[in-house]
Amino acid sequence: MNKFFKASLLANVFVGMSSFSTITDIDRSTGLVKVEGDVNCEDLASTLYNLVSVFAPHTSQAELTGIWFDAYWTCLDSGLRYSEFEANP
Amino acid sequence: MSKHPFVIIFFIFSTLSFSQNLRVDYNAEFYGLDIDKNLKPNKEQQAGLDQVERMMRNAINSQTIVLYTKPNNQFLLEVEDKMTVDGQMSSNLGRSVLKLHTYLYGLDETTVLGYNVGEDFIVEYTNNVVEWTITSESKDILGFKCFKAVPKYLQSYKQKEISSYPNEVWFAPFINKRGGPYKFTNLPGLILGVTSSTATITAVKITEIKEDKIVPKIDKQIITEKQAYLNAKAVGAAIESRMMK
Repeated sequence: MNKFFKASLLANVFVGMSSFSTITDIDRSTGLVKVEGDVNCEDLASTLYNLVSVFAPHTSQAELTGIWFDAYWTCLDSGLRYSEFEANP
Repeated sequence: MSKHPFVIIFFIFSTLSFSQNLRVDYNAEFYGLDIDKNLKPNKEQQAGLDQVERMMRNAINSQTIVLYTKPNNQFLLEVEDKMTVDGQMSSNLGRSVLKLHTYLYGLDETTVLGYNVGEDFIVEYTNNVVEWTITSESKDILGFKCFKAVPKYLQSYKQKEISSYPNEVWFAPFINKRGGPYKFTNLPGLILGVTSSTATITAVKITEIKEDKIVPKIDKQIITEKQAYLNAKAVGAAIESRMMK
């Protein structure tokens, strides 16, 4: 998989999850990031959910759920349309 | 409800009375995640938390929040996502952080109904789960003197849920209407400001209107706030169980 998506959205998180995706190039003029490898949107959303529940323990359940779904849909909308949800609904 | 004496005096002798319905536009501002200061995230974790903060800020900035007062002390609050495109799923992250629904309908003195587009139930909020302390602390919002009221939540939820709820509300006794960007509105005046540990909502414009805003149909199952909380917990548990696999 070789995809482009907007740097401002999820670049930092993808760098932190480089076991299954790698940022190979950033075009600063367009704000697009080139990614190689499969990105599992469910794993990405879960990583953020876990981070917030650990480091911001007062975050409500509704907010955590909102964070999970926002990250999940943003990831899919970024053009990295790979997800276990889609593959195995 | 405890009331400071001069708040009561202001309320009783208030001379500004709006006979027409009002439209109140609000702005929301996100402060940031309420990070536990005893925990030190590493660089990668911090990058993830920064990303979540950007998501939350974007989600809140994209919300338009408008209140319409109605006859008989009713009100309708509409919270819409400016970025929503027809046919695309709208994120509810902004509304989750602000503790609001797509619509809040102040039905009567004790009850507010919360609707979300795409959900098959309506949540009923009753004022008897909040105890107010009205303080003498005041500030002006749009030229109206507002008093700070501090809610005490009586629900038996986990403390983390309660901690995320708004911790102060600013209401204008001079505006003889009920309502605000908040689920509990049994205060003697319109709510012009709401503050929680992560965000604040403030009125930025008030206009008199002739129309009586139409309320969306109440054609779904009405559930209690407690049931809505349990539903949210169940969704969270489902997410967490998938993580364990």
